[in-house]
Amino acid sequence: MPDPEEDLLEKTASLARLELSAAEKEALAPQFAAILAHFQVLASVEVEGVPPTLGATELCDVRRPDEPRPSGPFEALLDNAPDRRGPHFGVPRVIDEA
Amino acid sequence: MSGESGKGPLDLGAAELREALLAGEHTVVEVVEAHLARARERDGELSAFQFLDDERALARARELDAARAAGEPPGPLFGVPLALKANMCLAGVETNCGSRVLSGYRPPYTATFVERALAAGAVPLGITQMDEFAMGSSGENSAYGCPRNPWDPTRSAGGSSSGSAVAVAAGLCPISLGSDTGGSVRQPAAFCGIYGLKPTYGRVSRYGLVAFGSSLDQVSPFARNVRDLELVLETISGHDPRDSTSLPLPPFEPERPAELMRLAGLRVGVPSQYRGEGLDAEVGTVCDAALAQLESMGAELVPIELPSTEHAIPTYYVVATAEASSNLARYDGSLYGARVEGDGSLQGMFAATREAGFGEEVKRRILLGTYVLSAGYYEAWYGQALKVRTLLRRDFERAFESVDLVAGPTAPTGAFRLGEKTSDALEMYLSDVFTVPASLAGLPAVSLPAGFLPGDGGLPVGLQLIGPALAEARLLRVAAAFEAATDHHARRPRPLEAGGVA
Repeated sequence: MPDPEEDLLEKTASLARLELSAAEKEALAPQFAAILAHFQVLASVEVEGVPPTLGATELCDVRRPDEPRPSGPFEALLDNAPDRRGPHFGVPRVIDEA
Repeated sequence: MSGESGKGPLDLGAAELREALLAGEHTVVEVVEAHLARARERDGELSAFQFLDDERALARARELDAARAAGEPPGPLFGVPLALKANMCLAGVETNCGSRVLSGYRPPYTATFVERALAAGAVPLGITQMDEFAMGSSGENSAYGCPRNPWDPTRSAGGSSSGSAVAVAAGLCPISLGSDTGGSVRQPAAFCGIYGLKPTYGRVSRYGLVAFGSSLDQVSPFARNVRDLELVLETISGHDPRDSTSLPLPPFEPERPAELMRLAGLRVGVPSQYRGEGLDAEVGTVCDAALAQLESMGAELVPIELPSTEHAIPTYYVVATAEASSNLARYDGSLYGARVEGDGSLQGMFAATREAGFGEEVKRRILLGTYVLSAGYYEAWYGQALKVRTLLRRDFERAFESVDLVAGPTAPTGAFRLGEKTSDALEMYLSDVFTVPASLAGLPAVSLPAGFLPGDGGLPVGLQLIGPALAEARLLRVAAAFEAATDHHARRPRPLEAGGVA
C-alpha cells in the first residue's frame, strides 16, 4: 500500500531536484509529517486584513543607474567550473542527437 | 611577550590590541604569529577553524607593519586578528559553507564587509566551522567537523556560527564574524560566554555573504567586550550599492554617555512569553539576577506582552526554509562546486549532485521550503506565514511605544550536549524560540554574558536585549553599563586538557 507520507515527500523531492535514497525517504517522511503537523497551528491564526511582510525593511524597487560597467573576472569564474571547456561551462547534452 | 600593561597580545581585546600595536609594544607580525600559534595548539581539541591561512595572514601582517613604518595612518582595526565564517567570500579562499556541494569553491570576489574589515587593518587568520549553509543550532551539521564548546568539550558551542564563537571564546582571536538568520550568532555567543550582536536588517551589506534566508540574514560580530563589538559594527556597516537591501545610511556610530553606569529613565520590557514553558529554571534565575542588576542601576523593569511569540517558530521555519529552497536551487553542479554525473542527463546530474552534495538537515529544509512554496500549498503556508510575520512585527512596534528595549534569555537552556538533539529536528528548531522573533521583525539584538549556571559545570548564560530598528547604540550602551558593573564577561574557560576529548 502506498504510504501517503512518503508520497508527499517523493513529490516534493522531485520538485526540489533531490534524489533521495530509500533509507533517507524512510527517515525523512515521518519527520517531515511531524514538523508540518506542528506548524499547522499557523492556519488557526486570525489574519483577516493583515498585510504580508515581504521584507524586513521598507526599501522597495531599489535601482541603480543603467550604466555599462565591467562584469566579473571571467577566468576566476571559469576556474570554478566542474567541467570547463575553453571559455564555456560544460554540461550534459540537453538536445538529442538526430 | 607582554607589554607595559602586563598582558600579552593573546589577552587583549581588539581595541586594546590596536593601542598596544600603536604604542610599539608589539609588531603586527608578532601578534598574528602568537594567535596562529595558539590556534594551532588549541584547535585540535576545539575544531573552531576549517583551516588557518598562515601564509596570507603573515603576508598581510608584514604589509601592515611596513605601512605603519612608512607613516600611513592606522585603520580602526589595525593589526587585529579576525576569523571569518565559511559563508563569507574572500577572493581566492575556499568558501564552502560547511557543505560538500561547495567543496573547493573559491569565490572570484570579496564580500563588502570583508573588504571594509581589511581596509580597516584587520588580519583574517582563517575560516571557521559552521552548520552547513548556516542551517543548525549546534554546529553538528557540517561536512568538515564540529566545534566543541570551550567550557565543556562534550557540549555544543551553539550554531550555526559555531567556529567563530569558539575562536573568540577560547582566545584564538579577539573578534570574529558570523551570520545570524534566526539566532546563529546570539545563541552561540550565549553558549560560549561572549558577546554577539545581530544588527538591524540592512545595516550591514550582504554582498558576498552566501544567502540562506535573504530577508533574515545579517552579518554579525562576536567579541569579548562591548567596545570591540561597536568597533566592528562601525567598520562593516553603512550603505552598499551592491546590496539592494542595504539601508541608505552612513556607518553606525556608538553613543558615548558621560555616566556609563547610569541607566535612570531606561524602560526595559520583560515579556511574559520569554519566561514560560521550556525555559530552564536555572537560566531563568540567572536572567532574573541580570535584570535586577539593570534595575539597581536605575532601569525600570516593565512587564509586557508579545502575544504572537507562540507562533514565531513555525513562522520562522516556513519563511526561512522557503527562502532557503529558492536560494539553494542554484547548487546543481553546473557552474561551480562538486558535480556528480548521475544517469548522464542534465536533470540526472542536478539530482545526483544535490543528493550527494547536501547533508540531511539541508535536505530537510529544502524539502520543507519547496513544499510551502508549491502550487496549492503556497497561500496556506507561505502566504499565511508572511501575515503572521506582520503580527510579530506589530507586537514589537506596540511594545516599543512604552519601553526602550526588550530583555530576556537568549536561549532556553545552557549549552546542550553534542548528540542530544540530533535525532529530533523539531526539538532543535524549538530551541530557537527566543532569537527568531527579532529576526522576523528585522530588529537589532545583542546577547551578553549574564552569568553562569550553578550546576552543569558552570556553563555560561546569555541575556538578550532587543531594540527598535537602528537602536544598536542604545543596546550597546546598556550592554556596556552591565559590563562595567559585572565581571561575567571577564571569566574565561580553562584551556581544555590535552587529549581530554572523546
